[in-house]
Amino acid sequence: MGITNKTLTAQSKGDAPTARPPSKKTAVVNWLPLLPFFLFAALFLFLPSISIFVRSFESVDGGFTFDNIIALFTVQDFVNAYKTSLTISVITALGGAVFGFLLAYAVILGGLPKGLRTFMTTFSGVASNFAGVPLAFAFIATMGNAGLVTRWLESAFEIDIHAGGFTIYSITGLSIVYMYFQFPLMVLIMAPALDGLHREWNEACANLGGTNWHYWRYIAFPILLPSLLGTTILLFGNAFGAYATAYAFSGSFINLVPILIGAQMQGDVLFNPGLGNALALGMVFIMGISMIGYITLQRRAARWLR
Amino acid sequence: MKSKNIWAWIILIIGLVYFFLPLLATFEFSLKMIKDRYTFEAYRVAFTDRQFYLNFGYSFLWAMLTIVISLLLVVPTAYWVHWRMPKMRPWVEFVTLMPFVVPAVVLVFGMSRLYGGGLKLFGTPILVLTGTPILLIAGYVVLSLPYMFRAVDTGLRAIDVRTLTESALSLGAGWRVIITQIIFPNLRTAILSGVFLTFAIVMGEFTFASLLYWPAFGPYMEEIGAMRAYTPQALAVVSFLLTWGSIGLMQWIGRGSVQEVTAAH
Amino acid sequence: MPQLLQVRQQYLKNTPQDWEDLLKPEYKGKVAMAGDVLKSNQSVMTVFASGLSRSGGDKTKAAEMGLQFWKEMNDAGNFIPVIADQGKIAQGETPIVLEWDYLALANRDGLAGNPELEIVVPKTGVLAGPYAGGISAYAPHPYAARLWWEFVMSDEGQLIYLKGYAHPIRFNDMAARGVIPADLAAKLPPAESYANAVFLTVDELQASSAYITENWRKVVYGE
Repeated sequence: MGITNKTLTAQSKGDAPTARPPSKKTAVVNWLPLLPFFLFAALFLFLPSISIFVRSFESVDGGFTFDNIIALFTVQDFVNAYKTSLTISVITALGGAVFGFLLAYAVILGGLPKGLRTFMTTFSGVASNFAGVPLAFAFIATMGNAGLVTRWLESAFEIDIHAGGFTIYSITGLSIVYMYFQFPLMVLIMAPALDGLHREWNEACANLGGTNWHYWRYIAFPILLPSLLGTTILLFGNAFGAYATAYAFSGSFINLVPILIGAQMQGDVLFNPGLGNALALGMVFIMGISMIGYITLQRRAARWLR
Repeated sequence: MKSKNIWAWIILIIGLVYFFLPLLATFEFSLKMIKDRYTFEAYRVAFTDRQFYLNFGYSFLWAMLTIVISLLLVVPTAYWVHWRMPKMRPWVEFVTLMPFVVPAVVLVFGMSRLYGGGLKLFGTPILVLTGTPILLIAGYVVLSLPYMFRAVDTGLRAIDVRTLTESALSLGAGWRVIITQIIFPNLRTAILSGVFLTFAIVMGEFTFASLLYWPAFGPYMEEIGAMRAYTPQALAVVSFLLTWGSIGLMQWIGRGSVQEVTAAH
Repeated sequence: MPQLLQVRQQYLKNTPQDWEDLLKPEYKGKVAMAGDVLKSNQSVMTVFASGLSRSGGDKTKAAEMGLQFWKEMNDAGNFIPVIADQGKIAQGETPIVLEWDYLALANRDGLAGNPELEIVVPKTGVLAGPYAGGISAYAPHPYAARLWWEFVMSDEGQLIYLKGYAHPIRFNDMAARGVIPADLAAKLPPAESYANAVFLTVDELQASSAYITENWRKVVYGE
């Protein structure tokens, strides 16, 4: 088994089309194996999502109304929520992408001991899902008013990080918290892409007299760019939809769209599911656009990952 | 090379500091259950709570179910798409990206309305699924789809599915042999990584379990987090270490397979 | 169940006694609520109670003045916009927390001195937050449900509430008849603190809730 696998894999990587043209069977038989998957998706993904769309037009007493959708654009609170959500998502997507990439590069191509790569990838697997109350508490316990680092800085260096008006309960603070699952997600997704950078390319470049800078500028980055951009978009979506962490951290005190949705669908004060659904629809729309961008970029990236 | 090394170390150290300080702070706090002393009392108390074992057990069971269903859905589909219908790949990928697009909190409401008597055929409700864990598992599978598919997809791309399958077929292998002895072993690492991410997701998941009222581990953690001090932090540390350990274990089991060989620099 | 202050002694030199004390500069970055204003009735009532204190008992102005109070709290930096819970109190992040008394007292017991908590009923602006119970018109066993409520409203049932620090509705009557055990009574804050408790009608509750949630962000954060 071992020899067969390695030989076949070394000779022909990826499923590039072979010499003969692909068979044109569009018979039903070809679609059957895909049926369970799409049926499941229809039942548990598409239908409920459509219900979001439908229920956005529901008023509090069950009638039909455009008020909810209109409110998305007219109520200052909602507009601000979208603005804040977008801001945080962009900041953490870019920040997460940059440092996440550097981290992935460091452990994979940076000449560090092999064990560190395994350490980082397994850690990223856990950290990318570490969210909600435990994450919020961890950061409050670190950098909050009575945090470990806060107290240490004060006692050891007499630096009061709150003196300049810095507080962790701000967009800046929340962004720092969000990075905890953004960096690992970047590492996890970029690792295979970095693996795909054949060593031969680096050597060929050196052979032709190029420096490391040339390698990166003309070979590696252009190849990685679609993956990088695509993953950044993924990080954007990840941050935009984050609810548990934001709520555990600052409740509704920072104005974010998922928090608003939660307030409308749960809790004992507000209750307008139609509005909640409308807000969600806005979210779906924004994410939908970013996903289209992601898919386009991924197609370009796939070309090079053979 | 040397200078590249220094930068790599610097970045790594910054990363490690960022990741481990909050964990350290949580751990330090969890040791303070008894006044003025560092002690593991919080851990002892956390583990004497019967609810902990119940909820952890439920979530573990549901995680296993989710993993099985997810694998059954994703692996054959991904394989088929790679071999026979590559044009469908973007569509399948689109479906697996939808969980990122639709927020969980709204999806769960859509589901519970639709399958709690909302679907009517000639006036009688059909497909009433509330009251069974089916909706919960379905929700979990949906959440894990992006990760499972991406893992399996990457694995399939690294091996030449078409050639392997066709040469196996031409050598007279039946489908059972192809699936079990050729495809699965080659995808071992990929599948394992998908399995572990799914496990981590289900064990920590809160939204679906909480809104559908199932006694999962996620809501348990949030509840004691809101009502107690010290024990929730102890549990957070424990569950982080447990999940990390499991993933590490899987990595260790899956080592030495094709992916690692081709990836080695 | 009035709004109380629960105070972590270790970090404070002086314990605040009333709503206006909370604005003092020594409490900068130390005051938090135990819920989210948009989601939790408890926090809405916190705002209302502070307003009640300011308006001198005038219910009609309380919502507005409450928002004003918290605006000042936020501007002064005394207000920490985080949802406080036992963990955060113990950790020291939120030394002063506003909560319903039964929750605050439960926290005190739950933390069992690690750290020490002092429970303070504010001198003015004591708001009672009633909980209502009901019987469903579609109940399969309506008479059993009624019997259940008979029990809840009996002395025995009401004392169970008291054990959990929630003041039962027949508290005053039971106290007058001397039915409350002495040890239970000792654990509660002094009865005089509750003498001025204000009760809201359902209409007042709804109106003030709506007003506070709609204007919270506008007034306090100026958005």
